[in-house]
Amino acid sequence: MPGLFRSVTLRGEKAARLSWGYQTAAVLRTWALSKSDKGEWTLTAGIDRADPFRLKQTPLQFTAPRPGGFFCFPVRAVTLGKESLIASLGPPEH
Amino acid sequence: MSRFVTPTEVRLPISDGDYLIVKERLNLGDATERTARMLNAEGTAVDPLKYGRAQVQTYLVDWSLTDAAGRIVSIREEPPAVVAAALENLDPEDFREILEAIEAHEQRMTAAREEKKSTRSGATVPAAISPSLVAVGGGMSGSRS
Repeated sequence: MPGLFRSVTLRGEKAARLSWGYQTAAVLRTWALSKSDKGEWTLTAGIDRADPFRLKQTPLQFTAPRPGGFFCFPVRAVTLGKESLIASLGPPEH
Repeated sequence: MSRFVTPTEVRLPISDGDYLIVKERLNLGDATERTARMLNAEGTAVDPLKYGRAQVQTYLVDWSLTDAAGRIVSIREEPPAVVAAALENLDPEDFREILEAIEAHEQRMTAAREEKKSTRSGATVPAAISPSLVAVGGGMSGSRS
C-alpha cells in the first residue's frame, strides 16, 4: 500500500465506482487518487453516470480495481460537478 | 421510517449450505426494472414466462454458488447480461428453489411493512374511491416461469 510514501497519486481509467450499499452512486470514467503529505486522500474523477440522490447518502465507498484485488476507501464528502467529482476519502480499508 | 429505500442486503440460506444475498426491499427504480424485464418483445404486455427470471434478477445481489470447478460464480456488480446468462445456465430445479426463497423473502418484507404501516401513529386507512386495476382486470400473482 502506498503508505510508504509521503505523497502519491494513483490513476485509473475504468471500473471504478462510488457505491451506497449495493447501489451504484456513480460510475467513474477516469480517476486520480492522491495522498497529500498530511495523509489526506482525495479522489478526482470524470463521471460516466451519477445518481445525485445516492451521492448524498452515507456510507459511500470508493472502489477501483488494482492488480490482485480492489482499492477500497470510505468516502467522507463529495462535491459533484457537471462531468466530474471531487471526493475526500478516509484511509484505505483493504 | 424513511420513505426512501436504504440499500440493505439480506442473506437467505438455501439447500446444501449455499446462500443468496438479496435486496431487503426494492425501490421504485428496481420495481420498474422488474416490470420492464417481464415485458414481451414488443414491450406491449407482460410475458408470464419472464416473471421468474425478472423477480430473481431484480432481487439478487450475490450468491455462494460455484461452477463445476468449484469457483464461486460472483455476480455482484456484474452487468445485467452477465447475471442473466448465469441464471440461464442454472439447473431448473435450483432456479425454482432460488425463486421460491426470494418470493418467501418478499412476502415476509411485505408483511413486516404492512405491520409497521398499521402501527404507525396517526395513520388512517383511506376509503377506496374507485376499484383498482387489479380488481377490475385480475392480478398477476401466482404466475411463474
